[in-house]
Amino acid sequence: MRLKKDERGNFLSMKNHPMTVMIAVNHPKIVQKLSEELKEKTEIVLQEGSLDEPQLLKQIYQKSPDLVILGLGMEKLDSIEVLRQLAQNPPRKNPTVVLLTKEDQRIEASEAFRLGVRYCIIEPVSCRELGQKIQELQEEMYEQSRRHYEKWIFLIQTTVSRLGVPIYKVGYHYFIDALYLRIGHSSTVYSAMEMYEEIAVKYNTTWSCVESNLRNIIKQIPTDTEEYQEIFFPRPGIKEEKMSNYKMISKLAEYIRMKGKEIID
Amino acid sequence: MKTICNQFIKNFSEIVPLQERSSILYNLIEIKEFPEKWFGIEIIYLSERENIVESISHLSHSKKYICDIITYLYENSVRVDNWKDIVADLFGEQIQRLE
Repeated sequence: MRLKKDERGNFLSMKNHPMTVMIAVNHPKIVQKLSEELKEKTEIVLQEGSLDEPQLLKQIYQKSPDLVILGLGMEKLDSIEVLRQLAQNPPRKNPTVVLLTKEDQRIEASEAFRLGVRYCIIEPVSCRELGQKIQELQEEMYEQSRRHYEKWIFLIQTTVSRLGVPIYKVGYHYFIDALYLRIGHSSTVYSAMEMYEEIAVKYNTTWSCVESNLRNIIKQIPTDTEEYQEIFFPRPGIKEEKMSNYKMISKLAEYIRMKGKEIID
Repeated sequence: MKTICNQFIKNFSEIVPLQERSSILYNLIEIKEFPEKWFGIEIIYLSERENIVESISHLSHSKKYICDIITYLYENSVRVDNWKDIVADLFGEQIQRLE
């Protein structure tokens, strides 16, 4: 899938990025019915989740859905156990989980809240209502993501400007995006190639173009400033070996993440 | 359609004999009755000894007002046995009609 660059260049915009919804509830043909309900909403992609516990977990880890609609009290699927597993071993992209329950399952659903679930829909619910709820959640998640993105971008741009990175150079936007992506993947394995490719998709270019522009930008950062020394060589007197561009991006991203963690998250 | 949205969870540790290990969940209730949308409050008390679910569904059309009340209840650790008194003070006689 190719992402389009919107006016503000916000590639995390969920308006351009389809929201994937995995549905694991014990209602026959619910995915087909919901697909019919949401047929005009091309930015929502529905996936059928398995009603078998290990299988569903595997699907969540592999397909990384944005939203999971999970039924409660199913024969083969202990939903609370699924949530416990997700809480213990969070997937790379932690999905928002909506629990579908009956009124008499309120206490069981409360355990789900303790495991990080935010929403619980009480049955009976029609496909139309569920479809509307999915759209509402999509808007809500988009807004949250946009606000989060804008706060981080502001902090990144401020730090980068202090470092003296030239704003008018081609690779400037790549550099900002690279830092944002690296901050977002601070606790997971994320290779340089993945990062270049993600940026390339946003700007409809190649990863090698992204890499060379990033290299040029990094080359032009003045190295004799206090800010440069503070970020890249925080331990005076200790001679550090030459860093790769990716390591420099990672180091700067970590510095910004530490600064922003308290004020943003 | 009724949706419950968890806003806060307050956990209490076990301090014998002063308090038992328990949790209080402060939830927002959203009820869609086309064309209207109502908001209410649900408080759940969970412990090894007992679980209590209490709610008032149709309190206001204003989500922000109800969210503010829930935040107030949470920040003051209001318990399941007296939250309705506080809400009753805010909503006056309406509350008896709603219950």
